[in-house]
Amino acid sequence: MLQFINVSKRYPGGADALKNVSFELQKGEMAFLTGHSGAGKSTLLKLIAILERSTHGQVMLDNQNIGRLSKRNVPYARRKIGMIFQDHRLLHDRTVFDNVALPLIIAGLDHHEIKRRVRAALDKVNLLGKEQRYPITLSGGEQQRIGIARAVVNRPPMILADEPTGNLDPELSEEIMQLFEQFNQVGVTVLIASHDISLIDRMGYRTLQLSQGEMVSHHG
Amino acid sequence: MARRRSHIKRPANLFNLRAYLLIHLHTFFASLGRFSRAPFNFMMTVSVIAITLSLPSGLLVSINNLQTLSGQIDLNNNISLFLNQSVSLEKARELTESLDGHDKIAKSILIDKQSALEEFRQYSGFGSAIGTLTNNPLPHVIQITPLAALKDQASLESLISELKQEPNIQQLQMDMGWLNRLNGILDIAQRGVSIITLLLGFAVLLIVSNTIRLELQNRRDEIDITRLVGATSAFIMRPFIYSGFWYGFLGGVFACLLVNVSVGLIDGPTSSLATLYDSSFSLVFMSLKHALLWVLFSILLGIAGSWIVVGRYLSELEN
Repeated sequence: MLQFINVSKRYPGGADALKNVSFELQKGEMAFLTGHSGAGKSTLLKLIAILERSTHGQVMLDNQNIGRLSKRNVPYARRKIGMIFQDHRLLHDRTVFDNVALPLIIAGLDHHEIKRRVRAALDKVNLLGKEQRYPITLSGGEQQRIGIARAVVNRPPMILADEPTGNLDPELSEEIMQLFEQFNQVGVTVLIASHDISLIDRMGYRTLQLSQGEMVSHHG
Repeated sequence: MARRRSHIKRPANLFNLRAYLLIHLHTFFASLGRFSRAPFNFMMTVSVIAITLSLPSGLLVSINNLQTLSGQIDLNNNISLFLNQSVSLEKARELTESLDGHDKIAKSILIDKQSALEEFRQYSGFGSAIGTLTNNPLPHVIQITPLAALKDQASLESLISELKQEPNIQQLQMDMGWLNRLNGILDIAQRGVSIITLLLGFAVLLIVSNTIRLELQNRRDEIDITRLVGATSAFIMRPFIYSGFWYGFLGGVFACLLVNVSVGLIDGPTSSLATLYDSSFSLVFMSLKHALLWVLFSILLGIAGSWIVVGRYLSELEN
């Protein structure tokens, strides 16, 4: 599903954010990405989301070299990845429903289908009945679940989460992780960037560890 | 699962047409809805555009009015010959008769100084002042109408220079002259208005660009988020293009209203002034065709203004 082949990223100014990184995530696999801050986690995620391009090497998503995509095709590649952020990145002037519906509106689905899928996604994250609320009126854990519903509503083959439990207490973190496991069980490839070593150890999935831009371990 | 494995290419056009139109319709009204949340800011921008555009369109309407006015003036080619004060009435009659026989002149009429003074006393309103004059200051005047065949400037000039040889004629004046000059001035004014239209059109472009730029900054987060969930540049641009459309459309409509309301305000006094001159002249409003052209022009400026800014912004974002 996802493959990094000798990927390096150097930002203008000379800093090497990633050095010769190679790894592969199989379809339907679930893995964690760890490392200290500044180890290159965000750069790696940005390369997958095509917010940055690699300086050397290839980033393959679904057998497509996404580092070489033309600007026009970038949005269509992004639709294959559901992205989840630590700060949720929700639109605060829109309802929960509108937030979750955004990827479907962008994809140009008709509104019956949008309604059906949004309700299904909200049901999955246990937020059914709160469609017309505004995100700001919900708790941090609930806001994170809106973000997750938005990420999966388009049924992407891959989910990318950047510190999804960073602001949550252990109990809520556990719940969120269980959600990811459920998506993984129906075949979605999941990559979660996290600091939370104890949680990662407890879950027992494969861990990719970055240190100063290098992949120091990528085994389970 | 087969769906997931497939490469997601662009969706086929046909499948999407209805949804595409729905998105457009949705964005169209959503952009209006956004304005209703900040009506003051919106109306301020619309007013600036309207006032900016009302200047050139108002000037054009004024020129149109002057052209209509000059078109209503009876276009005769008469030339007035003012004779020397010393010329007697006898002499003047003789001259009139000889001019009547001239092969380039259709008709000549003598207006003797006495009847000219009477006429002046009657119509000028200076009756009592004229009564104090001891002698008549007016000269005899012969009004000649050249042959209708003498339309062009050159043959008229040759007639004029011929008449100037006559020692008894002190001065001659072509009635047409000032009209030609007025039309010349109107031509220059029209050219001037074209330049002003260009400059102010550019100003409207900048006004819209700047407004949209501020809107872009306010909605930076929204743009980032929609990009992350796979929005194309066209999708992100669309609401801003519609904003530009609304600014242009309403700015243009209000500009036309401003001009026509102004014409309406001036029309009353103008008509009563015209009646004093025995004329039924009344001001011409901006025609529907011209109004539509102005609104179209304004819409184009609005769309272009936002297109330039948003296009630039997005191409800087995407690497």
